[in-house]
Amino acid sequence: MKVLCLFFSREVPLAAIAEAFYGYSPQISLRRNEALYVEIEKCRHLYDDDFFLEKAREIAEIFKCATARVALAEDIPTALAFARHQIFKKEKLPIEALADYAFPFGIPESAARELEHLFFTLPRLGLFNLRDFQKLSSGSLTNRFGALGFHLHRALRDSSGLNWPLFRPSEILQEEQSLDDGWRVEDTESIQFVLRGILDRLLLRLRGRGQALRRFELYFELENHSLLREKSYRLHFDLLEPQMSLKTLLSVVRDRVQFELRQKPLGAPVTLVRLQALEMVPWIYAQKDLMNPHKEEKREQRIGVLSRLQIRLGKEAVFHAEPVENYLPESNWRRRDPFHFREIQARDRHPARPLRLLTEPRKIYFQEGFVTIGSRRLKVLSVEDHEILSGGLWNRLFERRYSILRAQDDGGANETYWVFLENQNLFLHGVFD
Amino acid sequence: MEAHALTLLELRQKIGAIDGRIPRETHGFRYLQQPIAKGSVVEFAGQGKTELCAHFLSEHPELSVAWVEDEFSLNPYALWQRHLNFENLVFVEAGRDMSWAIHQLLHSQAFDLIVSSGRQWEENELRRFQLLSEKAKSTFFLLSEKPQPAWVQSLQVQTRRDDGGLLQTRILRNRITG
Repeated sequence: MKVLCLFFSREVPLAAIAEAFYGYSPQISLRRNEALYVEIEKCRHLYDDDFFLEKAREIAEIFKCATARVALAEDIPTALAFARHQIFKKEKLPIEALADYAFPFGIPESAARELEHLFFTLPRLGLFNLRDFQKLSSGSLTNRFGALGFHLHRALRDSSGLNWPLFRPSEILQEEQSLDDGWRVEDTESIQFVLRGILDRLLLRLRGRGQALRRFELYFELENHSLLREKSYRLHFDLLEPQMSLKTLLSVVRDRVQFELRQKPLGAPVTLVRLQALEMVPWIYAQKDLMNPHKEEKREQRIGVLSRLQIRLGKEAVFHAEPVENYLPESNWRRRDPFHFREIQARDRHPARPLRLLTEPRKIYFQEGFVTIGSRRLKVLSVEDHEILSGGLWNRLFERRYSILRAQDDGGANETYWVFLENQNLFLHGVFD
Repeated sequence: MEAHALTLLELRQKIGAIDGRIPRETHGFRYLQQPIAKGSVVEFAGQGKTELCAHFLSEHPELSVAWVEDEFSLNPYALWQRHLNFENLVFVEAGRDMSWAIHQLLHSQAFDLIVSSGRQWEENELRRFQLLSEKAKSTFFLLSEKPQPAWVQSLQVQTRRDDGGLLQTRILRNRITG
């Protein structure tokens, strides 16, 4: 067995940090408010010890616990004692390390007082480190130090068979940051700075869980102010494509926050920023395409920019077009999600149509070799039959006779229009631009 | 003094400042029999501009393209009839945020080609797009009603329909070398 231990000298979000390691090993346990253990034996074929030590420090830094102490050992108590005392030889560990051997998942209140008394007595007897304690014969321990003394000695001899208390990731996935008075956050620049850290932590936890972000909420709590109507600010983000890239998410959030704050500025400085994941989807790790390493990067950039455009312009405004079979030219294509392309099923049964189409056919007038389109009067050069379209439901039957009309304006420029005749009226429907 | 002058001349030649022609990577364009430089601003103006652009895109189905319009009047069915690769083609209806949208698309470097249609641009705006295009190596196609009197375009093509409706083209400006 190989155990990685992270020891923290102050209170930290242990469960959140543990989630970040979930991707490496599911065998994780916590020591109340103090330490976190990860069993890494099974993945040592993939990563070496240095990788884990480096990773642990990196993760601790992202969670603003740069002072975390890290150690690797063959069992939980030794890893904890190494990390706590930063002494990496078992025999040289101070006598207080016995407590880590006896109670690796936290000292029960009933034993705390007795331990304190023991650690006061042992140095007076000339026992300063674990080697000194190990030299004592086990037979005399109960008489001299009671049941606790025997328990400590046994734990020190063999601590490999410990049961790992089960660690469960929290149901709600959220990260927040309180902002003290010294840090005034009220514009997008400073909000973005705070968001970067929060997003980084949230993504690390998601990666550990093997999930990607689909929907999330950004919440700002504002400084209490008597004139302030709303003391909080919420923004919902619904991503069409699940995201795991910090760069992409940050740009999506930044643009939206910028846009929203322009419409409705914050009335007071922000005191708390919270980001809560509302919907996650399984994330599939895929091997990068070695032949085309930029493909993945380009895809992410593409998703990022399209998401930003959708947030600002609306979902309908950014799209793939899908041709569909329909008699009406205005209905023979539809807007599709720009992130997922679907094979086109339609078959082309029509002559080449104009590249520009009017949203509504526009009535035009033909008289004595001239056509009038709005305020423009053009000389007709030729009119050519193009196609006849008919169909519709029984109450909406239609028949349109389409023609290609070529005309010339006063300046001599030729225009090619797509017009149709319906109920003796002439309509302009498209332009061969 | 003479040596100094020669060095300056060489430098000018290298940056294409002498004849205004800048050697770059290009996309071929059979219809126009003229290559189009990657990362340049190209303008098609007049009747038939969209048809000419569609010709280029059907010749280059491998390019990822963002087609930006202020108000969407394109007929995608007709583009499909002209054999454009719809998998690599994304449409954006940007309204009054057109400049912002183009800026975002160019800045992302995620598309090989950006087509802008439906708006006349100020010269300083075009210059901004040109700088971004060069940086991103994304070609910027500008479809306009009339040729814009700006110096930014590397290639400016006037299009018109003849009396039979056939597309005619005339190159007004060309600063591209293959």
